[in-house]
Amino acid sequence: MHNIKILFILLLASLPDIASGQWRVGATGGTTLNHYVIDKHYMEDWHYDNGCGATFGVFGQYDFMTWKKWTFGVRADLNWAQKNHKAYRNQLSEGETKAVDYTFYNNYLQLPVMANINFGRKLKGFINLGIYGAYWLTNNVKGHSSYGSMKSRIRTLLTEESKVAFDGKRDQRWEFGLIGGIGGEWQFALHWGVHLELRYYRGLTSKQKDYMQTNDPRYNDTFALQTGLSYIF
Amino acid sequence: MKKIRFYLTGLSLLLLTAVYSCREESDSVMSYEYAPNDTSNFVEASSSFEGQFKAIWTAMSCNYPIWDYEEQFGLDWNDVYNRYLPIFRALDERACMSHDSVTNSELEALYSEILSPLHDGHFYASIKNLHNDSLVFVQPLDIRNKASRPDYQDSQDISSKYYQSATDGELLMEEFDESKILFETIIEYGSFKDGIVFLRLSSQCLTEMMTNEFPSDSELDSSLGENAVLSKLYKDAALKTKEVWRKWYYQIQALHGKGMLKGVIIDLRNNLGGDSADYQYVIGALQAPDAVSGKLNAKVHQNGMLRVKSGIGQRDYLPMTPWYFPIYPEEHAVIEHEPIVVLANGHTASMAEHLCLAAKLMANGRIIGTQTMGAFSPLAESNTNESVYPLTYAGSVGDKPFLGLLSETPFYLNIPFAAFFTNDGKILESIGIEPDIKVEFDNELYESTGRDNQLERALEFIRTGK
Repeated sequence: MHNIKILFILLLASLPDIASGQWRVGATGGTTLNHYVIDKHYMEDWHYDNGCGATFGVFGQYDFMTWKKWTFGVRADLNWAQKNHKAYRNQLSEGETKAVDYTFYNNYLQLPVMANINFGRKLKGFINLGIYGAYWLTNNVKGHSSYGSMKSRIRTLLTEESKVAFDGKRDQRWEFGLIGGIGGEWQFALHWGVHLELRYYRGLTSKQKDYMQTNDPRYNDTFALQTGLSYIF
Repeated sequence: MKKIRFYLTGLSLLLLTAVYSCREESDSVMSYEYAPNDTSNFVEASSSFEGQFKAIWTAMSCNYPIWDYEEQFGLDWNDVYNRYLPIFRALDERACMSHDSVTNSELEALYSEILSPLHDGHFYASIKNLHNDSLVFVQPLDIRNKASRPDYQDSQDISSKYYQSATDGELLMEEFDESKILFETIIEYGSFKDGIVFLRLSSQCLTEMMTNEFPSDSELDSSLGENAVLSKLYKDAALKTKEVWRKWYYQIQALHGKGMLKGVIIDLRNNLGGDSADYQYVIGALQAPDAVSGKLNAKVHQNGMLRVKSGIGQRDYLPMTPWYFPIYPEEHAVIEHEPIVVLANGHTASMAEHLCLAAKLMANGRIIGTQTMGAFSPLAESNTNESVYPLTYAGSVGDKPFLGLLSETPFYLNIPFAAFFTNDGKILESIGIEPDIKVEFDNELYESTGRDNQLERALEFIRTGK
């Protein structure tokens, strides 16, 4: 109890400092490139390709310390991001370029919290380092497959994007991981700035729950190239 | 400055190592591809009962297509591993310590206990007893049906001989023809005087017979020598089958053209299935193709959906996709008003059940007889000594025993490569299709007179509409 009191007093004491820092809020948007990390085991001609997607979000940043041209801050985003991937096979039969060809569209809601270090005045370079939590909102798929024996092919087709139902036993909808970003910002007016950032989200939790005797985790590695507009208070 | 760089580099490397070590590695899983003379994948399974159980368990875990369905019945496959591994380990220890061999009945009892809760209708396991090199056979559907379905009986050969010379004009087939191979009926065609056309298929192997280009007898003799006898036998049967099928098909066209077709009876009793392309020669020869594009009419010819696997995980399923069956490509009469009756029983299985399902989806289709077997999910071709596994990366595992003889691998698992669902998302494995008019086969009547009460019920339905 005594410790909690001390912590509370320290927090109160630090409030004037926080109030004296600089706040900024803004919106971001850009594109994502997701790499699905999966062990194919013996399925040699299965291929998993990176999938492109989009990301949009809002953020708030608090710069709490300035030293020479260096500024240190804390930034939190709330963004929607697509972590798509493609799966295909191409060695099944003659006359078919891809016997199985699917694109999976995975939509996530993410909350990255990062330490921000930037250098410069009107034209700044910055890095973000932190952690993120994400929730897998939806999973859609589009594509086709062709299966069976060489003589008698069973062809199936999904021409429209279809919803893939989540499997409560299999799918891990929460994802946590590390995030790193590097970028530059141009403060073009007293209160306004634009920035461009390249980010890397490294998922450290498997997309699949540990539901089998055989451990077979799958991860997302996602790059995001995004631009943003900030209002600086 | 150098010191700072050194520390920063060290810190970065440490951070990088930490980040990379945070992810778990997957367990390695062996390939189930079987290639002739290459049994290396099954080495452990050939050396101990424990190794054999582990390989069978993992093969099932990776390949069996309906684990989610089995869980609805309370089966936890992971729990099976933990419960039975010590039992198989104890078998090995017992044999090692006391030289007490494991008997076939002991092994069969164990695997029956493990596998009999499964519902897939095609699934069976042939497992080699490592102590005496003989095979133990477990088929869950057979075990279940024998225990729970009074109508499920051993398959019996039903002949329509009585109707080829019946004294009652209504029961007489005015035209009849058949094709056989080694006394086994392949196809029978008959036509009753009032415009009812009959077709019996004892198995579905029409596509190969209808489409094969056969070499001449002399070419077979010169290329195969003594082995040409069987090939010529098959060739003769195939050509005859084609001829009989065309008689059935053209009789329907002729009667329909004259407005004299009263109905069609398709007898699929004791038909254990075959090639999905055979659809075009049975129900597909009565249905309408898409007149504009020549593509399939999905509304009629989509019996259901398929779900294939995409990985080694028990629940690595790709989304369900429609499964289309081909329609006979020649321009033909569409039988949409005259009744189509399919005769079925407990030994109507697999592709034959898909034909029943297709008939059930047609407004003029009826099933008469008893409940079908319940084996809908598709199998990939699986000939002995042919590696088919990479075609689907799912399905059957091991070398299929031929005529009960030992295979190269220490087990064979007959597993479909996909799961079949009806259009409304139901699995029919081990359930089958209920007939519209249930009629038990009157064996006593058949044995004493040759009369077939199920066929006569079909004639009655077509003639009276009841």
